[in-house]
Amino acid sequence: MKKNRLFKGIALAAAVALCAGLAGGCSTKENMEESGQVSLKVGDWLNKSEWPKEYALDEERVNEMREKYPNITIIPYEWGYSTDSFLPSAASGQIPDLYTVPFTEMPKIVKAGYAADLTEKFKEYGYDTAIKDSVLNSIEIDGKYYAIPFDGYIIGMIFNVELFKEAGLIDEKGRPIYPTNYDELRDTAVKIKEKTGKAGFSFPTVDAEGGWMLMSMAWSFGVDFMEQIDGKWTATFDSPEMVNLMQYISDLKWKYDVLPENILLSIDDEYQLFATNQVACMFAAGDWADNIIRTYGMSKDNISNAPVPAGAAGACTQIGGKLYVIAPNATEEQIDAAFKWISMKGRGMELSDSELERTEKDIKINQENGLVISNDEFSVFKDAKCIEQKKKIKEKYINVNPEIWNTMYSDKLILKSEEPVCAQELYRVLSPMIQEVLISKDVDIPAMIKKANDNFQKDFLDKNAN
Amino acid sequence: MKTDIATQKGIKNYNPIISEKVKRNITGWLLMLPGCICFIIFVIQPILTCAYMSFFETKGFETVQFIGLQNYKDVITDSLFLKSMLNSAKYTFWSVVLGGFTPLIIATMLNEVVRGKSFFRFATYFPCIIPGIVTSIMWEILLQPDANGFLNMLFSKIGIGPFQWLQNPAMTIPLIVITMTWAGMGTTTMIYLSTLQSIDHSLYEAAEIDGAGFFSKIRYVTFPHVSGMLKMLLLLQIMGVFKVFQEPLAMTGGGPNNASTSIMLTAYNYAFSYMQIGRSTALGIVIAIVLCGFSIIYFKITAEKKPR
Repeated sequence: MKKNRLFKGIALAAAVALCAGLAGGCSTKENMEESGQVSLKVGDWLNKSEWPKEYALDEERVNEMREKYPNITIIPYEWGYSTDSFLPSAASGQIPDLYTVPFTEMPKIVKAGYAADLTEKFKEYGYDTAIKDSVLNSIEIDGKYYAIPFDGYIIGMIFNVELFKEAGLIDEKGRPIYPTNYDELRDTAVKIKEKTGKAGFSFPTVDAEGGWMLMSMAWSFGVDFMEQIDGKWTATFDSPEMVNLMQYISDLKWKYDVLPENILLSIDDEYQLFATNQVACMFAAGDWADNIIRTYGMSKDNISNAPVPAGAAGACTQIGGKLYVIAPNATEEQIDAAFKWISMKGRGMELSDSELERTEKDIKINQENGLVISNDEFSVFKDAKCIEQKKKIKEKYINVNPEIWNTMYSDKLILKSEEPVCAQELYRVLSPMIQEVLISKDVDIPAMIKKANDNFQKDFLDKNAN
Repeated sequence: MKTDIATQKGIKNYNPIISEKVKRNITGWLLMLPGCICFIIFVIQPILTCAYMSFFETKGFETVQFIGLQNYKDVITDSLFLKSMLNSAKYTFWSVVLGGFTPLIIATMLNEVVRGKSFFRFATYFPCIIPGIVTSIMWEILLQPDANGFLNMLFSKIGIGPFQWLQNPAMTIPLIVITMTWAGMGTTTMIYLSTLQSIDHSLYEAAEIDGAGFFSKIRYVTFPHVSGMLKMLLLLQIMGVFKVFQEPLAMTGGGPNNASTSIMLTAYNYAFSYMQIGRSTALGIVIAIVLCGFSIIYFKITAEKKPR
């Protein structure tokens, strides 16, 4: 009897405590709204023990934010986007108010309803006029903007200087002789293989990565993947240009034998091969240099880079990068706070004096860590003040030989955005095609392409886009 | 009658049916309760939610509009559906061929070992304590197809190879199954071993007196004892392997040219690569139906053999 009373007492106390907690939570939130206080949970926060110096810089930013906008409270959150965990996190309300995603992931996030419409603020803050048209095209969905780009890149080529030297493909200044078109690329790869016995060229072949990296090459060969006819999306890559491309890849493997033995390669696998002098050149994008140097300890002086080669349709390259996305349930005030935080973080159009100092500290940290400091940067902005500001600071700390460290950008490049619909699905159709021509010498290439084209139309365009 | 018992026991508002049953098994019910609650929360509820969502157009995890069987039609007419279904059947077939009897054979050997019993038992079970993803990556490294691949280097010492291993579409699934067998057979082996050790030794002695040799003892004493366990574990293996996902994801990404894409990997891609939860849940339900089919077949087979 006494036990029963005790249990009842505990249960009652727990219920009261729970209700009080809930009521407390509600009243706190209401109070914050009433008093004009805004809290913003910011994702991708660096771990203090792993990145102490970078963490300290963010703490400085939070303090400055508090001084400048006393009504805004920044809540650090270490959560970062990953394909495997995003959906469950979003469905269970675990995603922060502000988080970053790669360009390629944004359309499906918007479609799944996990990104707020930022069009109004985007225009109010002037991003619609400051950002390059090619980048704007990449992020515009049905005339609306759901993300703020801050870190852009284009796909280019990287070269292993040691292997180029060993093959005698170095000019009088000690610079690797870059292939400027796909015929030269093939010939260069053949020479590397002959002289060093190592793979002359490599590209990823698995998952969506294979298809994604193939796009620049395919556009350069003149492949059109889809077009809208009378409002209906139609797959159009069953074409002679696609046959040429697949034949080119097949020849690299079977006629010239210049590719790595492993045909199931991810980009990380490629980095490993490249850093250990097993591959002479490959496509690369984004934070490739940091990855190769930090993960595999490759010397930055052993790396060179250049724009992608040209094909029959010119030198096409895909634009990519990172975007800020705001959770769909964010209030107007939180969206405004997010734009303010992005500026504070130095990812807006102009850097404040204090942010200039922090950017310089950040560059110094990277330099101490042996990472590449160069001015080879593809900005998402047209001519914003931040471009010159960053360039000026970086100039003092550049640690690469400009004769060897080229740029991936060129005026001759044709900048391409991701295909307008079903891009991720397209990549997963293209990767098996690459694998097929690499595992079998006698593939009926036109038949394989026709089948893939028809399947893409039936499985994806008709079901998802039309 | 109700009143009589109540009167006899001197209890007011007495319900004899509930009380007697509950009272008789109260300890059992209490012991089962946590398991039942977890089963409802983590198994039944997700299955029912999946079944519900599979009839809707979805936006993330939100249901938007009832669309009947459209998701089922979409996944079944997908050009990869049949191939991945067939691949899952291949995984299952090879797992029975390569991994079905291996644990039993190893358990029999372990049962006969006199010296170093603990070491061999530990060595057999050791792969089970390695995280699955680590096992997959380790095997992927061992099976690298170039001359620098570990296994190819070993084979080159005896003048054969290099082999393409996972890149050979005909070899991909059997090789993945071998790695799965290596990683997972420890638990099954221990179950067989405990079954073998429960066999009364006097039966073997009696068989010997009757003139039975090594194989006759296995045929007439060992096998009848383990056959029930063998059937159950084979069924569990079939159902488990049909859902293979992690190994092809980590080792081949489903390649080459979808030669190792399993039906679960396809369901994963719907959910996480394309964020099409409706279609992913529809495919999940299709897989559940197939597995239910396996279970029914199994129960029919075992029921027929029961003595009447």
